[in-house]
Amino acid sequence: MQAVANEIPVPKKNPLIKPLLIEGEQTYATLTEQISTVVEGKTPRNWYIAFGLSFCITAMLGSMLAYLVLTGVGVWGNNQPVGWAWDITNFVFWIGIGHAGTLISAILFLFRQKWRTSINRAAEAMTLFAVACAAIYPGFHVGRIWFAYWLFPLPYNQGMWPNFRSPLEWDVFAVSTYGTVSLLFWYVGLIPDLATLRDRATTRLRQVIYGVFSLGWRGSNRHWQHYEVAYMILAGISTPLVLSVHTIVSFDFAVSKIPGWHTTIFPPYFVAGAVFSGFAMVMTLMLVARWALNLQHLITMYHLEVMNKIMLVTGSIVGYAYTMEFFMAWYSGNMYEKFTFFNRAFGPYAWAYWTMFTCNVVSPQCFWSKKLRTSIPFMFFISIVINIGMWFERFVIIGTSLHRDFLPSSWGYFRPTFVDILTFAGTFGLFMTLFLLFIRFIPVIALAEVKGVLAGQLHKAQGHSKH
Amino acid sequence: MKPVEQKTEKQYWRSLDQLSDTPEFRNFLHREFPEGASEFTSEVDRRKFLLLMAAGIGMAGLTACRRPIEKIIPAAGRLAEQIVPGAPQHYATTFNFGGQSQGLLVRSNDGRPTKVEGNPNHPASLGGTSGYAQASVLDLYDPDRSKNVTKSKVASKWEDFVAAATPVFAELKGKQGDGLRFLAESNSSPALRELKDYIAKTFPQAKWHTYDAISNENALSGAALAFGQPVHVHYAFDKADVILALDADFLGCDVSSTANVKNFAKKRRAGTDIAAKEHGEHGAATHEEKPEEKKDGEAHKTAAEPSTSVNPEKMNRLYVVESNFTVTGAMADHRLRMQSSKIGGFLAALAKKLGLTVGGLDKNAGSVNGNALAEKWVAAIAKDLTANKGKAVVVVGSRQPAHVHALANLINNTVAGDSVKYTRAFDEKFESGVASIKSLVDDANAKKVSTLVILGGNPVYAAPANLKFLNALKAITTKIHQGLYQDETAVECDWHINEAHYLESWGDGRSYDGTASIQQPLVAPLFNGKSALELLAAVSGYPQESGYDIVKNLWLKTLGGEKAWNKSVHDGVIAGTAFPEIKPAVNAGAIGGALENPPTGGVLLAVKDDIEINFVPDASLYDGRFANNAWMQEVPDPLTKLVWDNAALMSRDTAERLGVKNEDEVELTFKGQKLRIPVWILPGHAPNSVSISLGYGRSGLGLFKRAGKDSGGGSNASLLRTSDAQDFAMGVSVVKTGGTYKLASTQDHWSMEGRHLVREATLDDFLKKPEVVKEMVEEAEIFSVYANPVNYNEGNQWGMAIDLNTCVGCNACVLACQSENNIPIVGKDQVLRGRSMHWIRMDRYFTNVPSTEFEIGGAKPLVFNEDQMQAVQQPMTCQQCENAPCEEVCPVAATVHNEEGLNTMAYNRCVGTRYCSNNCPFKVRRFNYLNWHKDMAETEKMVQNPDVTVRMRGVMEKCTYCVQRIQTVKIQAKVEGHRPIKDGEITPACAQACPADSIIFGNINDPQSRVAKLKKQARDYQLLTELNVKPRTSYLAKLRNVNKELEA
Repeated sequence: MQAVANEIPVPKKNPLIKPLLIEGEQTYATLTEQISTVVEGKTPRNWYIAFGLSFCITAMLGSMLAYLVLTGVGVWGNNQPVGWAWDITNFVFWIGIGHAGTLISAILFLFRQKWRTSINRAAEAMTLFAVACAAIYPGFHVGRIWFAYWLFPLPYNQGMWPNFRSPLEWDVFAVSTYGTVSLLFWYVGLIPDLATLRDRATTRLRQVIYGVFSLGWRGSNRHWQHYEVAYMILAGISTPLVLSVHTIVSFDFAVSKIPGWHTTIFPPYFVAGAVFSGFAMVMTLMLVARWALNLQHLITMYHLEVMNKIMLVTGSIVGYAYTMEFFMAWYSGNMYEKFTFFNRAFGPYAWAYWTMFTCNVVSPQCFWSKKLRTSIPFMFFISIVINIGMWFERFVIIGTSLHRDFLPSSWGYFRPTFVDILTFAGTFGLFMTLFLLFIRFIPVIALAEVKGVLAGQLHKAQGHSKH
Repeated sequence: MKPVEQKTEKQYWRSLDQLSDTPEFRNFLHREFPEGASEFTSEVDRRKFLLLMAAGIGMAGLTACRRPIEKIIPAAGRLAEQIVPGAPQHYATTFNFGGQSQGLLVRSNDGRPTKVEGNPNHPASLGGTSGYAQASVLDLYDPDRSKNVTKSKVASKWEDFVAAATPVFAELKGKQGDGLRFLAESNSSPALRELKDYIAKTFPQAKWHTYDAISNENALSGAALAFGQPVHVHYAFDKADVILALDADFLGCDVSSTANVKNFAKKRRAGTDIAAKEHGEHGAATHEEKPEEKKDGEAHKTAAEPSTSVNPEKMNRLYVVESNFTVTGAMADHRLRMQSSKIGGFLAALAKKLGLTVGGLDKNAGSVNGNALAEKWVAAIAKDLTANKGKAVVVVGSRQPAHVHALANLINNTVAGDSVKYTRAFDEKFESGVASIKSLVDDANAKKVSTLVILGGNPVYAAPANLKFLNALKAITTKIHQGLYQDETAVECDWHINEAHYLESWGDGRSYDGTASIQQPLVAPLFNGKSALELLAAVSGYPQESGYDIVKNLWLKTLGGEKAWNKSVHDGVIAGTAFPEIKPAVNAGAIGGALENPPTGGVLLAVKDDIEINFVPDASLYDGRFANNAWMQEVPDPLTKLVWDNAALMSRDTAERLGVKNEDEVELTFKGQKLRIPVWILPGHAPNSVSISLGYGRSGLGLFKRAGKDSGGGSNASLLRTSDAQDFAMGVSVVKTGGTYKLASTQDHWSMEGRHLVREATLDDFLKKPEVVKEMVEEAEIFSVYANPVNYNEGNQWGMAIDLNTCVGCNACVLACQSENNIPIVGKDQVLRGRSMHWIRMDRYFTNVPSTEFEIGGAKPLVFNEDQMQAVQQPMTCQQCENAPCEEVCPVAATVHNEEGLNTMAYNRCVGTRYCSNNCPFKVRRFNYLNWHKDMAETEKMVQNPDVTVRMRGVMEKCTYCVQRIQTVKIQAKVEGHRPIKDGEITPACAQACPADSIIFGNINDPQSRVAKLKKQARDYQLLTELNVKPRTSYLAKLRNVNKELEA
């Protein structure tokens, strides 16, 4: 290990030279061995504990949803005028979380950002699981879930199209497209790794299952060529989705009439916020995975630092958006708009607003300091703070705009019920359950891609002299 | 026949079977269908099956059919025997309430009374109804109604009661009725009077006591004082230019409020119907306008121009001096808050200022001395009353003591002219209710009462606390109670007779002016109840037994014949029965005498810093009789917006002084009686005064038993109410207990936040410049990107105009809408969660309250002047926007526009995303968060309007302008040869109930329609025009006829 490190002539202080993306003495074989054993080895006891816990929380989610369906949306705290509360807050929150995955896998891929390879698999998986959690809300928040399929343009007895003017209808398409493309992208990226696992499989069952899912991958040149093209195309398709999904989600609000919602700033602001929250979530998860699965040499401090920088940038963007909203409210001269923003900051939900502001705008500013940016406990803390802040951002936008709109006579206040809280907690259970299954059965790190990075690294390390 | 066997000629055969003539073939020939296809193998054959089915269907209808056996006469359309199944019928009947009656037209759907409407022919209705009348239909189907006769709480039968009562009453008859007492509430019914007279003859020693928790006995005593006889004083609000109301809620809780509001509104409207200038607001007709009109110099000229078209009559001016904040106070042009105890003094000071010479004025006026504001008021009002002599009226509320009424009578005698009328009282032998029940209690305690018959009312709950009525009741041997419920009194009585609801029984009543009307039942008693008439007839041995016979026989004597009877029943009014007007002479000396020595509870008791307690009728429950009526529990109080509970109402400054805030529990101690009750701050309430509405804190109500814990119910104010303090008194102590109690209010916010939602102008400003209303909001030029796919210029285009200048906020529309549209009740807990379901709500804003922006920062306390606090009411319902924001966001197109401009809801299509509600700027959409009908009793289901879908959970609902009524008339018009629909033919439930005619609905495309004309008025404006939603409902601005001397 020491030898390899010495072999690479990188002056560590020189900021112009990128640090290594894969640390330690690595060969293709060691990488394969390391990543595959996570999946192939004996299931650790901790995994069972974590899975059992997550599964119980998921079961709670199931029972909360069953209670909701059997009793009515009234089991939540939603009311008149706050027709949407934690349901849509959580929907936007989870959808936002998913964004980092697509951004890392698609946009960074297109920009040839090699550092993505260590985290893209997990980030993509996170996207899928976040979309799954998010999808629960628009589905279950409707009053008559058994008719929710009417939101899809299906031919059935009513002979009626949905209303294509409704942003909620756009959501249906945006989110389902996003979910589908993310799944395909993730799966296509998985194929070579699944084939690796198939080839290494020692039991018949594993051979069959991995065999089926690796779609007969043999690693031929032809396969690789097709694979690369397909991956590139999917990356191309995913890229606009990163921007479009949250743009369309923001249309739910921006297209409406409600002061605090009716804002043109929303699309970029939502996308930035989504990336912000997504990276924070990736950070939280990767720090845990890195520690639990001993992946320090693959997810290096460099990776973490880059992500922190992105959080700093996107956090500043949302901070700018918050300020600009206030400026616009004042500058527009619209009394309703003015009141809404005043009310956000000083009204009954001021505590939520200032929580959001502190978590999202103030806390990432700490990352200007290199010391803090590279401190693992600190970044873990901040990533959680940002996730809390971003949840509050959605709540502030949805809740505070609705609770006091045009006619003061209809002003109200929203308080969550225990069902609201347990349902939200339950989605974390579902997320964790899926994530634990993922790390148990699928390579957490994109083996094939990391090898590509390693190839470059080895190439550089061995020097051009040999050629 | 056997053609085959007659082998005489050549044979033709159809088949070998025929040729061989087998039995099977013969059978086949006789059968229409093959074997097994036309008969059941079971014993029941086809014919029998059809017979049974037909009988089943026929009899299924019978179970629901409880039409009365007597001949009832619908108000319009077919007679009972010619009823078209499914088509509703309207029947005229009479609602007796608070000792007076209101004529109604009640809709019956296949024998079920479902909706109450006003009877335009009846003087106490004039087409409108009170909220009380609207909600009374729900009582009929109340599952908690007493369902049978009970003897010592054990179910029994009417026959058993009669059998048990006969010997008792026979014995009493022998004793000339000694020891027999009756206790009833006031009732104007001539038939009841007849029975009372009969009982007086049969049982000469028996005594009849009358007690009402809320009565107008002070007015009658005052009249007796002033005129030497108890006369009814009627205020002709349609003739009064200046009205001074002293503690008088004549537009609200007063029993004759419907007629008062009607007449008041008539005068309120006078002179305000100025047409708007054609200002090209919608781009149309601009070319007709002369461009120079826009110049400032011309403004006065154009402003002066409409004055020629002004109604020569002028709008009235209303001054209100009151302690509690009532809807009447909210309507006032000037409102002064004052403890009830000081109001008599205010009137005395006014009388003095008016130059009246009567004894005791100085003595009484003392309570106003030193109060600069009150003195200013006295001076200004005195001037105004003098200037409007002959058209000014002083109205004193029934809570004020007799001598204040007498003094008002004296003042009216000089200033009122024909705006006050007098008729004889219903009962010339007037006795105070408090004195009456006190004598009953005294006699019972002295063991002088052996048998007591309680007809209605709930004295155990409501009787003055110091009398300890329950103890007295226990001293009586035989106690017979009749009532709709097994209430607090019923459970203490030996016999309880379940009373028939007024929609189940025959009766009659007189309205405030004496007009009599027949109360005809629409349905046979659901629980075989008996009316009070029938009970009295049974115990007294009256010749007729049934209510029908009693009432009909009595009236046939007056009416002469069957034809006149039928007409009276049909019309809902008995012609020529109004009492003639009388002109009693005022006895100033007697009034002076009373003023010199005011009785206790009178004006001189007001001591500074002492806290006054006020017992006020409840805007929803009245005296508690509607306590089990869920509609009434859930309709928000007009001013406090509280539901399901009452509270100790006090002003902001008093609450601050006492160190209490909303929902703090306090213990009130008055004359040794204690009551725990939460505080609710009502800005503009009199200082140092606490008001508690009556009717809450009932025990054992089924409604609350079913609703479970924390479902409200309020506190029983009558626990503090003593016989000498029935209305108000000084000297209550208020102590904070430290506890809190959650109160549910539907509108927490006081301020309009500087938004021009209710536009209000002074009358002078408006007459000078009618555009002032439209100019309150600068209207930007707005346009739509898309052309509207529907042409709104043709056909019927429905619209509504709501006149805020006449709307008093009485809640009649809210209850009418609830009844018509099957609007569910959600309960206190759900109201607290913000889920009340009313399609039309009353938005109440206090004026002079600074907006939230001032509040922000926290440190700066809200400071505002409560002394002359005013409030406004705004009925808010779906505005039927042409550019409806709800429609564009519904993902499944469940809410769409129709070609008549209605924003319609397809409930069956709604999946319940609630996006429409979020995007509704008026927040008038209501979501079925839970299954509100889950616990609905079978009987309650019968009150539902079959023409309106009952919405399931998960579905959004909202006002439809009563689309079912629109459709009914449209179908009728189509059947009658596609004739055009006449203006006024369609009336939504809210508009129909409105006693003020503030809500006008119609076709805005028809320039001759009332609504189109209203929309052309200068006062007309739409809400939130800046959003370009183009509401079909517009409002007419509120005007205050301000007296300049009281301004600033």
